[in-house]
Amino acid sequence: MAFSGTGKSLLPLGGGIEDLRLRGAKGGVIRKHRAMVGLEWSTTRVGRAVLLSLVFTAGVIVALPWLGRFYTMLYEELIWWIGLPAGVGVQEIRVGELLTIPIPYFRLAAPWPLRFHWVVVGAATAIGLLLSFLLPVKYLPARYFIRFVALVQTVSLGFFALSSPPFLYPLPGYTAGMLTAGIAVLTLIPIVLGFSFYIFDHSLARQMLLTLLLLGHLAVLLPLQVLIHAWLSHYLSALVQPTMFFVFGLLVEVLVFVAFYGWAMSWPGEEIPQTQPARRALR
Amino acid sequence: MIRNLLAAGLWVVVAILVIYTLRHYIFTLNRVFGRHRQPYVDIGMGDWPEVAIFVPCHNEEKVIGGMLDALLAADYPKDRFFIVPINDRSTDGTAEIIDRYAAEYPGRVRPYHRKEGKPGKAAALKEATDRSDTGIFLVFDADYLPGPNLLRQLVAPFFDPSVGAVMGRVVPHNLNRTLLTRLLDLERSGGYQVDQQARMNLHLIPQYGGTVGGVRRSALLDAGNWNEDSLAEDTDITYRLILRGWEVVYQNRSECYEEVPENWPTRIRQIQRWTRGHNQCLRRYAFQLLKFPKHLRFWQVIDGVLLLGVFAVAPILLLGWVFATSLFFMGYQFSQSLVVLFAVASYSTLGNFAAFFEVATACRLDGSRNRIRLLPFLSLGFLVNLLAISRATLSRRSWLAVPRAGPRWEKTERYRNANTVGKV
Repeated sequence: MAFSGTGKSLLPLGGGIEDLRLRGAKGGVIRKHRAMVGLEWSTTRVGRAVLLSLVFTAGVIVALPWLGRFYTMLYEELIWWIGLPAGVGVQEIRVGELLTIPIPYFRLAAPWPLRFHWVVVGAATAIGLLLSFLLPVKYLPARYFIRFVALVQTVSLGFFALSSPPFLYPLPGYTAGMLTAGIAVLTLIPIVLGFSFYIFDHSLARQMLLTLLLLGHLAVLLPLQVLIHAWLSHYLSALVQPTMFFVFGLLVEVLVFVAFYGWAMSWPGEEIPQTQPARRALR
Repeated sequence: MIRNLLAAGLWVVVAILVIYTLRHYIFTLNRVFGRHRQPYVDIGMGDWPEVAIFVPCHNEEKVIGGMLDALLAADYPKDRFFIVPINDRSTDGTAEIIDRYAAEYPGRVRPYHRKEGKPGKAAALKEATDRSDTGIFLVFDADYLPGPNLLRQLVAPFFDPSVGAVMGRVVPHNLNRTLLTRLLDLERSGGYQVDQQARMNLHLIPQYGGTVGGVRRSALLDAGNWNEDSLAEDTDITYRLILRGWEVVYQNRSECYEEVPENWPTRIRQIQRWTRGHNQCLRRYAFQLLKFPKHLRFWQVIDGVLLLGVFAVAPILLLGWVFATSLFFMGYQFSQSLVVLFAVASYSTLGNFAAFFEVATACRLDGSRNRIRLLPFLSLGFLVNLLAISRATLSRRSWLAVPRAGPRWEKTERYRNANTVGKV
């Protein structure tokens, strides 16, 4: 059954006893209270969710070799464009006999911290920490976030102060690992959407639109994110690499996913009516 | 050796997260597609029993007038209910406002002014219970605004003699004040529209929340009355009722409007109070539940324990971060499996996706979809909650059987302009 924004039915009721319960005095449809609204678990709905998940997952997997080659070309252009003194290497991930995914990485070193790096990163951490205390209380989450970043960076500073080179995670392996993890996330997205989005009452077009928007956005974001990590790690030394990994690694992808998901869940559907929440300004 | 121990610890943390994630998913899918269990919602007529409505107050001059007006306008036989504003040592104008209402509505508003005895909501409720012989008590917080039909809806389940307590849905009315109020509105939607209703559907343990609900006097006394020393008398009585074989039911249709905190410090104090109270209950009742009493079903026990442990998850997450960071700096094998592990740990830290899924679903079912666009901002709320809850959990007060300083009123700041509501 579908509803208009004003509660009038767009589709005629079927005429059964169940439908008569929802028939208004003037022939309209009486909406269910929001406490009772739900969706029907139908074979069509489940089938569509499974099919979409499978099709998009297969699509992503088939596209991965092309994506890997695209990332390689992109990196070669970008390092020239931003003047990063790096080369681009490629390592291959084999999935069985059928699939070989080229994963580009940067032939670049994240130097062991020198005096300059200690001063810059240490000062940035201290300024961030100070800033967190100066922020008004209404920005408390921002305060906490800045302090969290500062804490991770402080632990990193402590680690490098107490240990000796080389760093455990050389930049080439780190960039390849980040890209590999990102690609794994990319592959999982249609499956997560299958559980959490395709089961709702959005039209097929909207379901496909969200999937393409998400995959497209993340496919572009991912290599740029890894490039920024490499750039910062090269110029600010390995001091910043742990913070990049923990705070600005996959968490960014997850938040992007949540943002797109939240937007798409606000799109109109075909079964659940939209109502205005009761708002009372009691001030 | 240490690395292996840390890795094992991290796996345990991830396992706990996965359990809670699955729980969120199951609840959400059940709420969307499952059969709704709202057995008392159709009861519109009946021989309505006499009801005493307790409204514990401590310095509530900004809101108590609006609350009393709303209750007096209730669609419930006038001779079958009376309101007991329990004024516990208020130092503002609360007592005068209540007395004015009592003078205007003699017999219908019967104030009880406490000047001695233990302070706090639980103690106030216990004293009021001892002084009343009414069969059913409804309890509201002073800032709540019940609609006219709410009393009948909350009383209807008590026609079922197995029901010991009932809880209604809490909906914020000041949601458009700040980002925080909007985020709390999202959280409340997820918590009630999905979480509580799914627990009701699945015959688990819906929680009596103590702010918009009711308790049967005989059940309350059977379970040992309100626990004056509890920091969360609502959770405490929920578990004692369940352990004594009473049903606790949730009525999703019975909405009541509350004022949520409008600033972060107030919110932090509120959630820390909930944490300490909830952890007290975890300490008191988890082992009793895990003895698997015969009248409880297996999944009721399991979910009951998970519900008790819900505030312990935040410090566990923090511990997971400590483990993961330590392993990273110790050069633990950066294998593919660890990548997945870090991925899980990462997004769990800012609220696992299942929680976002639950909230988005709840808002969609509510029919007010635009607010779902705020979903990513919930991670800010989760971050604050994570730290606030962890601090409260790690405090000694969280685990003492009886608070050393004794119970006290832990006030949530009110924002409403007292002149806006309250006719008397």
